[in-house]
Amino acid sequence: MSVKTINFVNDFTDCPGGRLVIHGEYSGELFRDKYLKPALEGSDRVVLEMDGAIGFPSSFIDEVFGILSEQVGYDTLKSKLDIKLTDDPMALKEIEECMLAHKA
Amino acid sequence: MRWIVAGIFVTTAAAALAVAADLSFTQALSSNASAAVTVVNSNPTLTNLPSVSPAPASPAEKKKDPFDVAHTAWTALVSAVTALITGWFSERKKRQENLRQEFQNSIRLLRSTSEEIGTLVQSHLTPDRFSVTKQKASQVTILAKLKLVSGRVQSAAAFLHAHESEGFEKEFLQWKGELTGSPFPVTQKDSVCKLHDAAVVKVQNASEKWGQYLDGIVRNCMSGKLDVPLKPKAKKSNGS
Repeated sequence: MSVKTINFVNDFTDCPGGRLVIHGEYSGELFRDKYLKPALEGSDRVVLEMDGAIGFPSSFIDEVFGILSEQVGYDTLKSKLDIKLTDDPMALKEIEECMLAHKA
Repeated sequence: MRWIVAGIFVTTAAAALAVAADLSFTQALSSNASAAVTVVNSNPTLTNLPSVSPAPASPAEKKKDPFDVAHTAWTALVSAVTALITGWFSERKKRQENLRQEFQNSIRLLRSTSEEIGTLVQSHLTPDRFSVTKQKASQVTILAKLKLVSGRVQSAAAFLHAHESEGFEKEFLQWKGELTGSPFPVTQKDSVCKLHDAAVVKVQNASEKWGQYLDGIVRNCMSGKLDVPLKPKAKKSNGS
């Protein structure tokens, strides 16, 4: 079983931006399409370490996890993606709710 | 806890005293009775003797009167139980009051920080202040403050009962969503962010609603409608 680990701060940024690429740098769209989705497609399991970031805008969370939940399916996303986020529990809750809200 | 230990100790001591007193009282009664019987049986021939009233008991003997000892012991027992119950209730009330105060302080801090964030977003969105160079600084400040507030929300929610706690977190996420969602205006490039006025109004409305919700929580807490549990709930494990 192949496991891919993404460290959000080291591999992407410590200050995530808004929703779309046209809105500015480090957008949710960019992270989803260039990092998270390819990792999910190429591995059996993805560990996403998100600790250390300054914070996560709601638009960023929705664009990454909400849209991904629609694209790959909520159950698949839940079973393949392991999110490690201990320093911002409300953001983790927001991610969970976002994935559930976009459940196809 | 110390009230319970003290209560158990006092109650046990009083109960032991009461049992001991009761025993000695019973023994005294039975020995007096048999003595009386012996006296009557040993003098069958004496019929015309003047009646002799018993000598008054000395103060020391009065003090050791089994009735008094038993009464004192039972009084002590009742006092101990009463003190235990009163102490437990007052301790509980005091603890509840402290938790309520702590919760209110968290809410007040949450409210003031939230106002700061709202002002920051609005100030950033005001057309004459908006600039690309300021964008990163504003973004970092707002996100950092939001993260700090998130921690406060979690700790404050831990003091609420399940349904209130869930509603509290939901209201916060809704407010955060209005500030940083669909899309987060602060992250937008100058050329894209055209709807400054609309965004300012949106942030104002969201902050006002969140502030009113927090005020309501404090009011309910003050009036005792929100029964803050004595122990904060254990934090849920993180990870998805």
